[in-house]
Amino acid sequence: MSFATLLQAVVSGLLLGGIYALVAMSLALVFGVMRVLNFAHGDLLMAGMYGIVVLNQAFGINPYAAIVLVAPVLALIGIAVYFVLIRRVLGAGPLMQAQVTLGLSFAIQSTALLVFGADLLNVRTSLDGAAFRVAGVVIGTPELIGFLISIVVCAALTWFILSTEFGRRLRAVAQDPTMAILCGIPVRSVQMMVFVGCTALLAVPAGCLMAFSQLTPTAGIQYSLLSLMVVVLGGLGDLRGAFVGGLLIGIVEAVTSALFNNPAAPGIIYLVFGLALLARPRGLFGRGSEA
Amino acid sequence: MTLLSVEGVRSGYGTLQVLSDVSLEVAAGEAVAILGPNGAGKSTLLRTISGLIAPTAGAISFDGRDLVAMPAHRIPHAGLVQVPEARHIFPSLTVRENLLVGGTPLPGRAAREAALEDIWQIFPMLVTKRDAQAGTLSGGQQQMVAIGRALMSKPRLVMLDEPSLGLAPMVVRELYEVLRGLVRSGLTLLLVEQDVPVALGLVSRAYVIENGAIVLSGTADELRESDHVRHAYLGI
Ligand SMILES: Nc1ncnc2c1ncn2[C@@H]1O[C@H](COP(=O)(O)OP(=O)(O)O)[C@@H](O)[C@H]1O
Ligand SMILES: [Mg+2]
Repeated sequence: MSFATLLQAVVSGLLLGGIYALVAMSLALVFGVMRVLNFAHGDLLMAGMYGIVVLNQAFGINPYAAIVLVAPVLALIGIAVYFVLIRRVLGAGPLMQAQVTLGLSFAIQSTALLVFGADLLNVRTSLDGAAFRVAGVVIGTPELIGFLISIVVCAALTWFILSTEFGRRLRAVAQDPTMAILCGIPVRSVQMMVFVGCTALLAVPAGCLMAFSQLTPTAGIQYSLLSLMVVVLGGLGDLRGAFVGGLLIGIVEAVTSALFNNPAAPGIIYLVFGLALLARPRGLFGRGSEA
Repeated sequence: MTLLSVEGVRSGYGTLQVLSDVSLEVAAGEAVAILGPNGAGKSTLLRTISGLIAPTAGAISFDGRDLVAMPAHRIPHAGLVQVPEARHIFPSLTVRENLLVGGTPLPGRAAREAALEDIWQIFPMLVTKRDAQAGTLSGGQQQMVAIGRALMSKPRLVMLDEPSLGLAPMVVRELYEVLRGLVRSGLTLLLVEQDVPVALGLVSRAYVIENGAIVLSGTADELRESDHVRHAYLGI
């Protein structure tokens, strides 16, 4: 493989990785505050992507603008999921939580199949196929926009958590929920708001991804696996780890598929993931669960 | 005036009953201790009062309000806070952030900032540590953060669970000096302590709890003179 091909893969991977980083941060935040590993995270993202597609195909709304409309819908879905499912397994064993969220994942996937069929869907925008070259590297315009939006939202999320009153309470809940109660924090409602907020936030990566990728009902499970990997790699609940992990997985994914141009290439990611975990069992920054 | 009243409380963990028929009262402005050996149920009693465990029998009221029916996170808003055993500071929050979280029951940002100033007055040694992660502090400083965090909400009653645990004798003396000042300035205190001489030096009354039941109560002087306390706790 030439240096040019490698460079191209790294750049493309980094751009996609920026979006993965936001997806993973949202998952890590839910885990940090609720101690629930949500196996349906990618399926909720996919639900948002279908929302983007519907708005685009029915009303011609561009995917970035559609984010603003999809977010409140995802928030409502988040509220329903929280009260019907998540609330019941807070504090339950990890196996029970996995069963419930996996069940949700299958339910969303089946619904998508039922409603939209198995066909590839995509959106039309004026930016379709737009790209430019920098030093021989091709940069897709929608990919770059998605990356920039995601990075800005990641930064805003980090600021919110580190610098606002709600963010401070959120961190207290993540570190010691019992002590948070003794400080007068309504822990259950903080957890609910975090879950709903993180679900609504998925509208952002949904819009960014739909601007250049295609959608089928199995996309959800792929994004779930990917973001779970990132979050485990980054150290469960560690937001900085999730961010860096997202960028890394994006790059590894692109480089492996450039290196091994065959259908087994995605499998390499899992191998890399396994090796990374062997080397750093407590995540990239070795801190484990700290929001 | 009775501020906190516990009547016939029975409580425990699942099928394990720890407390049987515990009653006690704390009046406004009073400092009261709960003494007793390890495993007697002192922390369980404080957890029950704070609403972390629901009692299976009995009544708990604070300032005339029924605490058993109140969600645990509302109890600090009613003016009753607890500094739990082993401090439980939020380790990766800064000292200042820990204190601000303690100020959650206050009405707004301005009130929290003002309360923060009061805490710096009480614990001046924390001022230079204000932006350090609380987990990096020494045990004594962490205990000050934990107490400061409890005081942030301007509580009407503070429950302290073994504040001297794991601290060097000199640090304990320093800490009790601060507590004495707080009690003198009118803070109502319910103190759980295994270090009986230290506790009796601070409070005016105490209860002795053994095997989940109150076996003795009286003024600090009465208890110091009691044969049971002398043999079991003062080693005389
Ligand atoms: N979380 C818990 N689950 C089950 N049993 C507990 C728990 N905490 C304490 N206990 C038991 O309750 C009894 C009283 O404990 P505790 O209230 O901590 O005593 P103390 O504070 O007086 O040392 C002990 O027998 C202890 O083993
Ligand atoms: Mg105890």
